[in-house]
Amino acid sequence: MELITGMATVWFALFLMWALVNRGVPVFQELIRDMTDFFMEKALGPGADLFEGRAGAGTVSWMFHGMLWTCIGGTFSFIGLWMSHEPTAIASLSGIYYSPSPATVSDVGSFVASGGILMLLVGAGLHINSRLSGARLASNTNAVLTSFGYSTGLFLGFIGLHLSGDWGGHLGTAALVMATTSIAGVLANHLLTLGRRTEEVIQPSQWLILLGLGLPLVMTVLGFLFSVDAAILQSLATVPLLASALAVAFYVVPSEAGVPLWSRTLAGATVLLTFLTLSPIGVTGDLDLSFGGTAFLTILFAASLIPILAAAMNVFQTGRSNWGAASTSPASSAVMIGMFVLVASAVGSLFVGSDAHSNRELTHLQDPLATLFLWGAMGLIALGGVMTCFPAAAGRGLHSQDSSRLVLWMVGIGAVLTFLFSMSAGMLDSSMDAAIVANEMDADLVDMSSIGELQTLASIAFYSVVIGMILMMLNMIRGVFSGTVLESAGPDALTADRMALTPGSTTIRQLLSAGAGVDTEIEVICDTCGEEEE
Amino acid sequence: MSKESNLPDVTLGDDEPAMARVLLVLSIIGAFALLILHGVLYPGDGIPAFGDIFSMFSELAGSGIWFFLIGIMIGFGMMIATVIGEALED
Repeated sequence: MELITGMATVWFALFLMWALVNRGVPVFQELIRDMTDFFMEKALGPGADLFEGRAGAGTVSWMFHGMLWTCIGGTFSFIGLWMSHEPTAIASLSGIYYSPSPATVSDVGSFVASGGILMLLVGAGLHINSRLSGARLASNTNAVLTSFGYSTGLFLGFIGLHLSGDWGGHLGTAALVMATTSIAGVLANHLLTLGRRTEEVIQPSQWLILLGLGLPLVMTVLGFLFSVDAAILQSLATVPLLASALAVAFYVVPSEAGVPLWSRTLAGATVLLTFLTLSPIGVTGDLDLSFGGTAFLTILFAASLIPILAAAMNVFQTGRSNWGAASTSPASSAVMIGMFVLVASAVGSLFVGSDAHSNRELTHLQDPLATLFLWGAMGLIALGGVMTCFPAAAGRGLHSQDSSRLVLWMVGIGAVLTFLFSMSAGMLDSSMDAAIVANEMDADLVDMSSIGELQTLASIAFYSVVIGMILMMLNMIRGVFSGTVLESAGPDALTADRMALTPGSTTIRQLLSAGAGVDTEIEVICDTCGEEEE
Repeated sequence: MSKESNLPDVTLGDDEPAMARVLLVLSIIGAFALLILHGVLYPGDGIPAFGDIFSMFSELAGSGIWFFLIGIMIGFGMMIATVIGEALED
C-alpha cells in the first residue's frame, strides 16, 4: 500500500511541476521571479563577484569540472576493477598511509564518476535550455558558482567515502547538502531562462532537463512530509542522469544532422513515461518488500522500457533522415551508440532490478550492468553533449575532430568489452559457487584462475575508457585556448525595454553593455533637478 | 549488359595515413609481440611487474597495475602541462 501512495506522491509532484512551469505561480509570479533573480546574483555578494558572467561561462565551467571528475572517477573505477582480482595491487601505497579496501575504491570511483558525468550533462543542459528558449541563460555567474559548489560536494564525498566512522558520515551529509543546493540553483537558473523565452513552445529536451533535475528535489521535500517507500527513492536516484541524457540526445542528433527530431509523439511519450514509471537501472534491492509490492514494482520497471525505446527509435530515425551528416559527426555518433547501449543496459537492468527485489539470483550482474549504463550509455551521451555544446558555449572549436572520434571509439569499445568480460567473470564465479555447494566440494581445490583472467581483461578494457576521457579533457583544454574561433550562433542578448539613469556622463559602450538596445527607452531620474530650476 | 567502365581495374590514390596512427598501430602490434615472446621464452611465468624491471621501484611497484597507473599519471601531467603551456602562450 505504501508503494501505491508513494507513486501517487511522485505523480502528484510531476503534475504540480508541470502546472507551475506552464501556468506560473498566480499573483506572486513577478515577486518570485525578482526574488529568485536577486538571490542568484546580488544576494550572493562577493561570491558572485568572483566569477565572470560571460555568455557560455556556466556551460564551460560545468563541463571542465565534470570532465576532470570523470577522469578521476574513471581512474578509481579502474583501480577498483583491478583490485577485484588483485586486492593487494596498491598495497605499496600503505607507506604513505593510503590502504583502502577494494570496495572503498570501487565506491569512490562510481560516486565520483556518476557525479562527473552528471556535471557534463548539466553543463550541456544549460546550453540547450538557453538555445531552445531563444534567450541568454538567466545568470551565467550563478551557473559558474554552482559548478564550484557541486565540485566541492564531490570533493567532500570523495574524502568522506575514504573515512570510516562519524567523520565519513558527516562529510557524506555535507556533500549531499552541497550537491542539492547547487542543483537547486541550476534549476532556478533554468526556470528563469524559461521565463524569458522568446519561443512559445517548451521543447521535449527542456521538459526532460527541468523535470529530471526538479522531480528528485521535490520528492526529497515530499519524502520528509509523507512516507515514501525506499524502493521508489532508490529508483529515482537514476532520474537526473537518465532524463538529462535523453534531453542531450534529443538536442545533439537533430542539431548535428540538421533535421528536426523525427517524431513529436515519441518525444512526448519519452517525456511523460520517463517520470510516470520507475527505472530498474541501478536498483540494488535489499529492501523488505511484500509479494504484491514486488509485482507492482516489476510492472513499473517494465513500463520504463517504453520511454527508452521510444527515445532510441526517435534518435535513430532522426539520424537516418540525414545519415551522411549524422554519421560523420563524432557527437551524434557518440549519442547514437550511447542510445543503443542504453537500450541494452535498460533491458538487462529490467531482469536484474526485478530480481534484486525478489529472488536475488542475479546480483552478480549488478556491477557489470552499472558499469555499462554509467560509462557506455551515460558516458557516451555526455561526450556527445560536450562535443556539440562545449564549442558553441566557449566560442571556440575543439582542438581536433580526429581526437574526438578516437575518444568515442575508445570509450564505446572499452565500456562494452568491460561489461562483457566482467559479466562473464561474474556468471562463471556464480556457477562455480553453485557447483561447489551442489557437489559438496572443497572450494580450495577448484581452479578459479579463469575468473581472475577475465577480471584482468575487464580492467584492461576499462583502461581505454580512462585514457579516452583524459584525451577528451586535453582536447577541451587545447580547444578553449587555441581552438578555431566560431561565429556566435547563440541568441542575441536581451535588451532592456526601459533604463533609468542618474545625471552625469556615460558612453554608448557602457549603455550597450548594461543591456540597452536601439529601442530602449532611457529615462534620466534626478531628484534635485526640479529644486535647482526653481 | 552493363556499360564498360573507362577506369582501369586498379586505381591508386595519393593519401597517406597520419604518422601518429601508424605509430599507434605499430606500438600495439609490438606490445602483443612482446607478450607472446614472453609466453614462449618463460612459459608459465607471470608478466613482470614494473618493480621487477626497474629495481629502483622494486618495493613500491610490485604489481602490474603500475604500468597502467603510470600512463594515467602521464595523462594528468599532460593536462596540467597543457593548461600552463596554453596560459603562458596567451
